[in-house]
Amino acid sequence: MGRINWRKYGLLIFSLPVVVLLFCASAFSSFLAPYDPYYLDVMYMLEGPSSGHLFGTDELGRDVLSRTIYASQISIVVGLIAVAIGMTGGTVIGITAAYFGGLIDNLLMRLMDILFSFPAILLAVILMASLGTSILNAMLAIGIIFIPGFARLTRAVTQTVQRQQYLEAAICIGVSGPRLIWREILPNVFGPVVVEAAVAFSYAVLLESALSFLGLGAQPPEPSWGNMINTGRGFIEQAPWISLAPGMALFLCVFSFNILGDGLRDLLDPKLNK
Amino acid sequence: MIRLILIRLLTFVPTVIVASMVLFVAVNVVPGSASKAALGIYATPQAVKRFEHQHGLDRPLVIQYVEWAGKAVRGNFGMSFQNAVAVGPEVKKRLPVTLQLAGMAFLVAVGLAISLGALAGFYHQRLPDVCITSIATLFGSVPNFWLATLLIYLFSLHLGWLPTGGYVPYSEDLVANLRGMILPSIALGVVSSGLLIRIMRTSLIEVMSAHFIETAQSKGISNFNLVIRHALRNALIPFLTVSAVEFGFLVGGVVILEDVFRIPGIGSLVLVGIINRDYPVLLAAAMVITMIVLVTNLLVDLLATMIDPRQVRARN
Amino acid sequence: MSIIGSTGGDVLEINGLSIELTGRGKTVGSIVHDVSLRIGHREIVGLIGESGSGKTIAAKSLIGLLPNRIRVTEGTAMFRGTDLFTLSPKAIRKIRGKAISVIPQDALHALNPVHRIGRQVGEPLSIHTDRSGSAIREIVLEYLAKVKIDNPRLRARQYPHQFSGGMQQRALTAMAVSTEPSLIIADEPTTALDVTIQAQIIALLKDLRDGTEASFLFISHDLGLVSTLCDRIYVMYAGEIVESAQGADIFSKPRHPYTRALIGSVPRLHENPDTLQIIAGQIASPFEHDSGCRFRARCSFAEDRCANPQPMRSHGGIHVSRCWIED
Repeated sequence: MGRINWRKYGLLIFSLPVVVLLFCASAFSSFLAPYDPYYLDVMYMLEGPSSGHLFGTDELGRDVLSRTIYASQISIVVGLIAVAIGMTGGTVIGITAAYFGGLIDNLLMRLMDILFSFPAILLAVILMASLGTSILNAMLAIGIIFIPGFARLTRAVTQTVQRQQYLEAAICIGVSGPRLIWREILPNVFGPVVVEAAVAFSYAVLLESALSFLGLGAQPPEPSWGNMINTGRGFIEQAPWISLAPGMALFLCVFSFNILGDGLRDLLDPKLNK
Repeated sequence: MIRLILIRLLTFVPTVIVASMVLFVAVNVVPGSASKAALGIYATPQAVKRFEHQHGLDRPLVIQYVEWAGKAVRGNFGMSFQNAVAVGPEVKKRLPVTLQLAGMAFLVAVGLAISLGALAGFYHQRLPDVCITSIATLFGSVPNFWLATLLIYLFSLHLGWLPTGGYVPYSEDLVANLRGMILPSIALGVVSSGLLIRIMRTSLIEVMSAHFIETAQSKGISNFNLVIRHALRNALIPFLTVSAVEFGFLVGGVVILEDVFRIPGIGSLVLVGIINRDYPVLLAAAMVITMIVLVTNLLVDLLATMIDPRQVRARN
Repeated sequence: MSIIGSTGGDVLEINGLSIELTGRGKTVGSIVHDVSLRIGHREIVGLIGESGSGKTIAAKSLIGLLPNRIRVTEGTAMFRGTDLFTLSPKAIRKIRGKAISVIPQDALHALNPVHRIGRQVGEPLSIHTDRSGSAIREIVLEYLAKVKIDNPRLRARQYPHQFSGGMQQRALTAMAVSTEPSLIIADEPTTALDVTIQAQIIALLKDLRDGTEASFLFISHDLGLVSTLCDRIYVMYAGEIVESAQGADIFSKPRHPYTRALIGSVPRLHENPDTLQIIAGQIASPFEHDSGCRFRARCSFAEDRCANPQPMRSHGGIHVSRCWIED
């Protein structure tokens, strides 16, 4: 067996198992969860952790572990779609700004700067209030928040690419605009955007939980890590375990996607590797 | 330098205007949502019409905005839908509470970042660096509302050292006020320190490889003074700019943490506005939070200009 | 081993200094090998070599500022009766900047951009003495005037970016002499500067030598520059001293092929520029040295016997060279 280059792959090796576990948990929830997450068992309300219920039961006697596993579905779906919205919107705006330059660039990026300076959670909360509380709207609200970040990133990368000589060469031999973007610019944008996406995903999961925690995201009885932690908060004295499993899951998820982002950054951009 | 400050102040005005427009649009993103929210979905069309007319909501959005902005500049945020009470004084009463919380939390974040970040940067790629970098990633990944829950469980319920929440004005009892603010500031600050520690570390590593550090070493300076006098100040310049952005994230966090700790600040007013479907309240609270962020960014920009003599020359 | 009979009045006497690059606990390369050098009272001694010859590393080892993974493995450096290499980090710090000071290379980046010149120049004094702030300020002004900075009172309040390169080097020089050290290490103090400014700095150093009790170790890659300044010159190649002599002798009677090549590559006004020699090849990497002459791969006189260790040979007086070639 060859030696593993820990400096290069260490973060990836550390984060990937958790990431895989997470996707498995959401894809195979019904196989993995020991109980029905909606099954109320009044005989076992606020039961502490035991061999029957590893992480105890909540105020309605539902199995905390099963609900935590099912809740990963919402986190993953919201994360994926919100990131997709932010990535698409941001990439289009970023490339447009860099491609046309001048006034369009100025206006678009000033707007992005202002959007970027809003506290993300505040914007999400307001959008949820006016759009109405639903998971679909949560994806939209969180996605919109990511647009400025991706726009800044793709604009910066596009501008760097534009200054490269091979692009001038491509223009000289008569490659047209859309083709230029498709063939020369997008492949260069890809790497940094993937890194940003991993970090944005962790942030999306965090924002969704925060919204659900405030009662503006997933609505009970549907389990989400945020609303489970909120429920647990109310019973923190009698049953601290209710918020323990979803809190740990949320924390692990955010942590490992952050590390994944760092790992990808090291892998894709050796210049940044310090 | 005065010209530079003036330019920065002039660009501040359009920024505030556009930011307030964005908020206004965000709140009114669905037409008629305000009235529907206030009256409930079963309201009769006549009732909706009357309500909209009464509050001027049937007019074009642009006119509504101009009217709202014109009053808001003078601190008049209109009347609450809920109880027809002026929103302005309520905001004014709650603002110091939020400023105190955000300020204390920022101190926690920056304090952790400068000390731990500088330590990690100084011991680059040695054990303290590895430990601190891991801790920073951990800090940055903890959801603040879960951390708050854990802190309450440990320090309030289990150990009984600090209150679980609530707010005592500092004019009444300073000690009780500070005791109540400790846990929320930590919950808010620790999360923000994650990124800031890493920024400080990178920044310090960069400065430590500068040639003037070697000059300072050749003077026989101690390691402690080397970092404090020569490296830290230079490293603070990029750090300040990032910390201003991070302050924005931190201030957003008050929306959640004021709720968790039952602190009557602007953040909880946002939620009050949402729960009561009271859009004048929501808009006012959101605008004030946004202003806190924008003003901080402005101040930090100006401060960065003054701390770095080179910037003064470069832009003059 | 001592090559030059030492006189009791030496300020610094380095004997058999070897510095190595270590990795994972074992030596991976030789950076400085068996260097011996002495500096007498108020002498200016030149240490000449290409970049990468180990001259800066050798100088840094004296004040305990070697980079990570680079260690002194052999040798002594007697400075005023103590061996610098045996001192604790704390003890060497007390000497650094006080008894031995440094005029750093790359003047344009050697000052901290966020501090005023006066404060930086006065820092060695505030570290090593317990003089009051105002007393230090007075000394700083005095030394700024000594290095011919006009209007020192105003200049001391300015920041480095308001100084020209030559002025920054003057300020750094003032800083180095202000603590009245016994030894000043000038590490390529003119490299980053224009040629006319270089001459001014050299003239300033000459003046200073006459006005202070300090000895100088002058490190340079430019033999022409140091020849008029130095009492004695050591020529270094790939971590070894290959020749040393009185300043004038190095120029008029170079012995080692490397020294000859160096002189050949100093262009002179009255010669046909076509005869300008360059030294072929590159300096050997510290990972490739054997016990033979380190210059032989680039030497036009190289023979089989060059693969044997080359002892120092005397050429009369203090003139020695590490080569078998007689004349």
